[in-house]
Amino acid sequence: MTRKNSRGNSALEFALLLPFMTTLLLGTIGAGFGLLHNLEVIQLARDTARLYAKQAQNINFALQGTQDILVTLAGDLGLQQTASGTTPNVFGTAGTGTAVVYVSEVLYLGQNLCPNGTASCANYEHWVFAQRIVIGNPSVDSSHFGSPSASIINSTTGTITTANYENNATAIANMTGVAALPTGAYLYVAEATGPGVSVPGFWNSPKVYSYAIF
Amino acid sequence: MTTTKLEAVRKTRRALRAHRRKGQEVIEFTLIMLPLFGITFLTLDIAWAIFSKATLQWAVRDAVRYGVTVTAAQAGAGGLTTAVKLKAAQLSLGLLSGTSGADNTDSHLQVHFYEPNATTGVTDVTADAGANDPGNILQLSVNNYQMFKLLPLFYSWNQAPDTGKITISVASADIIEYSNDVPAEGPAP
Amino acid sequence: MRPSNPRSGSGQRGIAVVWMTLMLCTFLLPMVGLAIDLTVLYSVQSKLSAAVDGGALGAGRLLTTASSSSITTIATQFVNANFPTGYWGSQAPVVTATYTNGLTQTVQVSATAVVPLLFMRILGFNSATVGSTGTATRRASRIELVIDRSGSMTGVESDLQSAAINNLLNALNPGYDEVGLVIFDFSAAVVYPQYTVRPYNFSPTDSSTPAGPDVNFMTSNNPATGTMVNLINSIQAGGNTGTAEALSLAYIELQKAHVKDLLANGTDIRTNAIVLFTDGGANQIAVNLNQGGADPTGTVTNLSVIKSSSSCSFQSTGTFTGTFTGTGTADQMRGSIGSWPPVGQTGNGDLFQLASLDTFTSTGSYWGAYFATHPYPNSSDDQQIGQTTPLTGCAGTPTPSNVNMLSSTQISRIPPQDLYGNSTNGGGYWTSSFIDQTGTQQFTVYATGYNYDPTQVVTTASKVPGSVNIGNGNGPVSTQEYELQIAAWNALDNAAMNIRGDAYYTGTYYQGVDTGPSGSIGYVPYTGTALRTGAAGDAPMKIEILVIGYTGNGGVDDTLLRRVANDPSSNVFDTNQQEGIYVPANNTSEMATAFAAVASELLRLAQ
Repeated sequence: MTRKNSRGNSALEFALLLPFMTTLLLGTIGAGFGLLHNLEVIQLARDTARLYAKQAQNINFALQGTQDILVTLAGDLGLQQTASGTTPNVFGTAGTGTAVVYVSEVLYLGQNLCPNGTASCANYEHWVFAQRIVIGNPSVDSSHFGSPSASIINSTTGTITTANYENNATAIANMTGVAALPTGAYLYVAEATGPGVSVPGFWNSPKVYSYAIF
Repeated sequence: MTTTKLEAVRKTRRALRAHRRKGQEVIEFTLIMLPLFGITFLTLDIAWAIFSKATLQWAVRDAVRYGVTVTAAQAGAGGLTTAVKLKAAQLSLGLLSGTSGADNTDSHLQVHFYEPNATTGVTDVTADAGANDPGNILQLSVNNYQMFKLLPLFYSWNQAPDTGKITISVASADIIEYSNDVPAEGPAP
Repeated sequence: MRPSNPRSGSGQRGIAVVWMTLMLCTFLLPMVGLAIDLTVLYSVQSKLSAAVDGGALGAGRLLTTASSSSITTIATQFVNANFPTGYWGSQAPVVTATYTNGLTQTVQVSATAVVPLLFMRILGFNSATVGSTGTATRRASRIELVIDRSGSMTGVESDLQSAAINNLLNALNPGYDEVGLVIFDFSAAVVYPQYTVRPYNFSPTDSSTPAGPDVNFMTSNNPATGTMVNLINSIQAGGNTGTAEALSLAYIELQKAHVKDLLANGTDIRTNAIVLFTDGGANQIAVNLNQGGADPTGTVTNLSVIKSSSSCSFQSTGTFTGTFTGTGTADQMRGSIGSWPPVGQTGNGDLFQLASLDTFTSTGSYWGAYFATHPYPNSSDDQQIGQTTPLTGCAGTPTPSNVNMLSSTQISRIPPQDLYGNSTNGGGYWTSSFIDQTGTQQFTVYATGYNYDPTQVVTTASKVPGSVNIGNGNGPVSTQEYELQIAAWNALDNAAMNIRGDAYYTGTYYQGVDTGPSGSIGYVPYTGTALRTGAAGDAPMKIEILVIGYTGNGGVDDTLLRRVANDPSSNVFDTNQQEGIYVPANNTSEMATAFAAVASELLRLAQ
C-alpha cells in the first residue's frame, strides 16, 4: 500500500473541514436570524390583529400612542411610528424604517347587505375593505390582500364609506389566498412585513411576512 | 521475519520522521486551533443566542395570553403582574430566573398597562388605579436580558477582547378580556 | 506478513477531524438543532395559537341558533384561514371544535400540527407535534336598549341607527338573547315588544300580558313595524329629553322578563343590562299632576301640582280630602314638566300635557306615554302609544302643533317624586356641566347660594337670594327653569340608583305606576310585600347600566351620565352597587365604536 505524505495533516484536514464548518456557521446565522425575524413578524401580526379586533375599546392605530406599542412589539424589525402627537396618520410614511403593518377591516357584500345585487352594489359578492390603516414604511411591502385607493380612505380614521366600498373597484379585497371564511360579520386582518436575513449562498430571505385574521 | 537492512533504515527514518511529524503536528495544531475553536464556539454562541431569543419571544407571548384571560381565582394572591411574570418564567425553559417561590420578579420582566384613548392613542396607566381594567392593554416585556458569550470577540490585536454580554429584548401585548372576576393588579410591574 | 506499524494510523490522522467529530455530535448539532428546529416549532405553534384564538372568537361572534356542526365549521374555517397549508412543511392542522350550549355558550377550539424537523432528524427525531387550545365564552343577556331621540339628535339619526344596528344589535343572537327597546324624547315609550294593553304595570304573575324583552326581536313581532331593525330605523328626532322615565320603563321591562323566566325555568341567571344612548342633559320628567295625599315625609299634604286657579279641571281644590271634584279619574292627570326652551335661552319652564285616557275606546285603553308629535313608527300607530286630545280645560296654546302646553304660571309646585317614584331632590346634583367632544367644559348650569325647594316653583323675591347663572354667559335665566332642571337631573340620578339597587325587590320603591282607573291615587310608599318575592326563588337583580354619551351635538352632561352608569370615574362611585360603564362618543364614527364596546362586554376569550 502506498503511504501518503502525511505532512501538514491537521492543516489539510482543517482546510477540508473549513467549507463544512463555514456552511454550518453561516447557515445557522442566516437561517437562525431569519427564523427569528419570522417568529417576530408572526407574533407582531397576531398581537396587532387581536388589538385591532377589539377596536371597540377605542384602539386607534392611526394615533401615535397606539403605534408606539406596535413599535415595541416589533422589536428589532425596525418598525417606526408614522403618526405624531395627536395627528393621525393612516397612510404610513415611505422611507421610515424597515417594516410595515397593515390593518384592514373586511366584510362580504352578500344578499343581506346588498339586497338588490349588482344594481345597488358594483362589488356585490366580493370581499371589500371597510377600513385600512398603514403603520410604518409602505415601500417595504404592499398588502397581500389589496390596496384601496387613497382617495376613498378617510385620512383621519382610515374608514371607507359604505358607498365607496359598495361600488369602488379598488375597495375589493383579494381573499382568494386564504381558506374560505364565514361571511356574516366584519373580519379584522393584520399583516406585518419585516426585513429578512440574507447570507449569500446560504440563506436568502429578503422579507419576512405574516398575517392574522380575527 | 527478518528485517533487512533496508527496513531497518526505514524504521529509523520513519521513527525520525514520526518524531518530526509529531512536532510538526503540534505546530500545525497551534496554527489551526484558533480558527477551529473560534468557528466552533461562534456557532455555539449564535445557536444559543437564537434559541434564547426565540424562547423568550414565545414565552412572553404565551404569558400575555394567559394574563388577559386569567381570573382572580386562578391568579392567586399575588395579583395579575405576579401571575404573568411567573407564567413567563415557567415557559422560558429556565432562562428567566426565579421560577418558583417568592423570587419570581425577575427584574428583566416588566409589565405595562395602557389605556386606549381617542386623542393620543394610548395612555400609560401602569401606575394608576384601575390599570388592570378590562379593555386596557397588557404588555409584557423582557428588557435587556443579558446573555454571556462563550467566545469573546477579538476585533484587533491591540484592543481588549469584547467580553460584553449580548442583550435581548422582546415584548408582547394584548387586551385584557372582560370578566367579572378580574384579578387585582399585583405589585409594581 | 506485514508488521503493523503502530504509528501509521496516528501519523495520518490530524486532530481537526477528531475535534470536529466530537464537537459535532455532542454540541454543535444539538445546539444548532435547538436553535433552528426549535424556532421553527415556536413559529408554527404561534401561528397555530393565533389560528385557534381566531377560531374560538370567530365562531363565538357568529353564533346563531343553528346546529353545533355549523359552529365547528366556522371555527375550522378561521383556523385554516390563519394557518396556510404546508406551513414549514407541516401537515394540515387537525382541528376539533367543541360547542357547549347553555346560558353561557362556550366554544373551545383545539388544533395540532405535525412539523418535520430539519437538524434533529440526524439524531433520530424526525418530527414534532405542536398544539394549541383557545376557548371563548358568550354570556346570555337580557338587554333593554334605551335610545334618545330628542331634538338635538336631528341630522345624526342615520349614524345612530347604523351604529346601533351594526355594532350592537348584530352582536346579539336572536333566539338566545332577550332584547327590548325604549325610545324617548319628552316622554318615553316601550316600542319593543309592541303592547296593546297597559304595558307598564308591573305584575309579576300576570302572564297574559307580553312580558318584557324577548328572544324574537329579529322576527316580525308586529307586521306593521317589523323587526327591531325596522323599529330602530324608524326613529325620528325631535323634542326634549325625559331620561328618567325612559330608564324607569326599561327597569320595569327587565323585571317582567326576569320574573317570567324565573317562573318558567325555576332559575334566571341571565345578565341584565340597560344600554342608554343619550346626547344631552335631562330636562323633562313625567309626573302625576294631580297628586294627592302626603308626601313621603308626611309634612306636606296638598301636593297638587296644578294651581287651584288653573282652568285645568282636574285639579284638586284646597286640601286634598280623597275625592276629586272634577270629572274623569285621577290617573288621567298624568303630565310632564320640562324646561323649554332649552337651557341657555331665556324663558320659563313649561308644562306639557300627556295623553288623557277618557277618549280611548276599549281597544286602546292604555295609558298613553308618548307624544304623537313624532309619529312612531308611522302615524297609524299613534293610537297605540299616545293621544293628543287634551283634557278639558287643560289645553294650552298648541305650540308646536299637537303639543299642548300650559305655561308654568299654572304650576304650583314640582312634585317630590316623578311618576315612577324617583325623587326629584335628595340626589344633590345641582350643577350640570356640559362637556363637548374635545372634553372641554362648554357651560354649566348652577346657582350660587340658592336652596332648592322642590315643593315650590313659584318664585318670590324672598326665595331668590341670587340669580341663576349659566356659565356660558347666557344667563341669568329664571329660577323656575333652574328648579325644573334640578328636578329632571335628580329624577334621573335617583332612577339610576333605584335600578342598580333593585328597589322593587325590597319594596322600598314608591309605588307610583298605573294601578288601574279606579286604583289608588297619588304617591304613597308601597307597604305591601316586596313585589318580586312572590316568585319563588327570586333574588335581587344585578342590573348594569351602560351609557353612551354623544357629545357631538353641543356636548353632554357627562358628570351626570357617569353617575347614572356608576362608572368608576363617577364622582359618587359606589362600590356597593352594580358597576357600569360610560362610553363617550365624540363624533358619529365613535358612536359605532361605543356601541361595539358594549357588545364586546358579551363575547370574550376565556382561556
